[in-house]
Amino acid sequence: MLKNKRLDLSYSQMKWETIFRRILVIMSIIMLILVAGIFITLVVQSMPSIKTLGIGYLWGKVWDPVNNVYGAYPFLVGTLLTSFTALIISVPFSYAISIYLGEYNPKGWLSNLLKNTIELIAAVPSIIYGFWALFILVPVVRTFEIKIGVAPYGVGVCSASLVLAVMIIPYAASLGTSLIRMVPSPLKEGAYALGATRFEVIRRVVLPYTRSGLFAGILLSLGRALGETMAVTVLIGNTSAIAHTFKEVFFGPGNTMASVIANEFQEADHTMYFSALIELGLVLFFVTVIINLIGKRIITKYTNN
Amino acid sequence: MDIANQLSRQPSNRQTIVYAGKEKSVLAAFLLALIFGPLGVFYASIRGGIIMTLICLANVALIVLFGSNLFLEIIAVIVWIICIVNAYNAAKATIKDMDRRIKFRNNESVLYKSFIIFLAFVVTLPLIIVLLYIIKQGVLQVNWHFLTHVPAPEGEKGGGIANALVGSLIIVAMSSIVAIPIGILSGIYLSENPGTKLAYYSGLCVDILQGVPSIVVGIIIYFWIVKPFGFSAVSGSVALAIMMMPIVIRSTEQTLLLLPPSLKEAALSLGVPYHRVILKVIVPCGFAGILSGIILSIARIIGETAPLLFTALGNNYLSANIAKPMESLPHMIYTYATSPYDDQHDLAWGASFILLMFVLLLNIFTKLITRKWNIQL
Repeated sequence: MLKNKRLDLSYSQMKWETIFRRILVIMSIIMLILVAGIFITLVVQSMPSIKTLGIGYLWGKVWDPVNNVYGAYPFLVGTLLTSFTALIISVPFSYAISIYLGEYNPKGWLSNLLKNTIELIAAVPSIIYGFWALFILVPVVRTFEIKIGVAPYGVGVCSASLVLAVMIIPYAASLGTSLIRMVPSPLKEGAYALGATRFEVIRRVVLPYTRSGLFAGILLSLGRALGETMAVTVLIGNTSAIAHTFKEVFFGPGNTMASVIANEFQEADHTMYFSALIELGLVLFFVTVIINLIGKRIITKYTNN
Repeated sequence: MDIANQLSRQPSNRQTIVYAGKEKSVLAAFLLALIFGPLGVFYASIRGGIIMTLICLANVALIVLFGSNLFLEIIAVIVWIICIVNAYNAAKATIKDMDRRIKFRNNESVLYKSFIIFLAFVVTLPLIIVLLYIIKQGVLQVNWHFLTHVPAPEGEKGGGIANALVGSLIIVAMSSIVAIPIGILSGIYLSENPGTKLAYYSGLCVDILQGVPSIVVGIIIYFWIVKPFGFSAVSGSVALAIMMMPIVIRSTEQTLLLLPPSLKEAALSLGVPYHRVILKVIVPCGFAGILSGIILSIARIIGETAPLLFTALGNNYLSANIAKPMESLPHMIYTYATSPYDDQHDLAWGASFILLMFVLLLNIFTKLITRKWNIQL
């Protein structure tokens, strides 16, 4: 039989090719395993607390590890309050940046400069924001609190949300910019041809067209804000007690889910305490994952159309 | 099409409704509504004023009934804003003269533009303040001694951040070794097989991983590695690698999807085997994009503290043993920032300065690469 050397060569290459394809598949499967592993680990480790405390854990108002009483309500309130305050502060700014970079000034050095600066805001590590705010922002907030006549803690929900607001602006802004740039120009030109002013074009054409995309950007910002740990841990003041009036809650110290995990995880000395903390992590994981997935879904739907 | 419908549905004649009453000043209407709320709306339009007052009274009644709470307060604020918008629009509609109306609309447009520009540029202020302050505080600390010595004991002056610097570099290098190959290969899979089920679920998982809060990653690694083997630098690296992977994967995928398919087809038609096409043609072509993704991910994880809290822990001494706890820059900033000693704060300012410079340089480097190769991420 004739031996075909070329065939041999291609056989060995075939072998390499299958190996290479398999490696690619395995690497992708690693992602699935990672996420499944994270989920299973969280559920298994928080089982003791899920079994004993049940669903009432989420609105139990007392967190007292010494007496083995666990309720996540103070942390849920703290997390939601800081995140939504930060979101409300950040939305006008991220909208303004999106409109400016997407519509008013999409090209040129000034717009590039602003775009890069906004990206740098996201690049600065959160611990540095926390450290800076602890020494500069907290005294400012304290003097403000003395002026309006509440207990001058300085640290607390107010300071944390201010810093958080700055940190989450870039996420909504960069997405919004690219979406506003995608608005078809015939629509805008049509509106201009009808005699609309620039403001009216933005108000009646650009913003309605990009509404769902901008909403997705806000959702992604919210996901960031909920999971943000270090800056908040430094600034929130860390008390698990919950104040009664809104004013005291907003200006006083509090705790978020992430910060309580960061602070107490290493102090946890018995199984219940431990698993109660991990259950907090599980809740946090669920909420951020769902918010992120909804946001991503909206974006893919939007960009495909 | 949809937007065209929407536009046609907008009551375009709304602005040409001519009220029986005489012309009203928009500024006055705005200010009155701003100060007096629903009562101020009466100036612009009687009907709107009556409606808004009724809504406000209902809200006040609810507050009296249930006591003041957050929800009702928020509703009150929203009602107030609606009052202002109503008054503004109603007053705008009373302008009868065409020329004056056009002038008004132009002014409105200019005002809106300046407002937007103001808001957009105000955002850079906090960044500039933070940068300048960190540089001002940090530059004084940094010298050769600072970079080559371990921190002094508590309450003593001097010392440096050598342990954190070395630790950070080792931890980040190890996590890059883990994350970069996995990230690039699975990014290649995602871009090469966009339709398959595995790619769909894998992409979903990448999205999920990107959204996982960093503290949760720390908890997970605590159970996977720290509990069986003890606190170590390796566990910190794995935690950071998990944070790094999604960024590398996404940037690889995005870059490779941008390459023209004819590139791959040309190579395949020459008889080049698939793995060589990928490794010798596709990856080198998208190299700049992949590299910038890698650098960005390094810049992101070098400042992460939360995953290191329960994994790499911290260490006051210079150590290169990866099976033992190791200090890192962000962790050092966290511990020293919350400590009561001024000398430790100084160390933390210096460490912040170094960390910030690292991150900024990496970001600027990425910008230069992507500009030179002209690849958009």
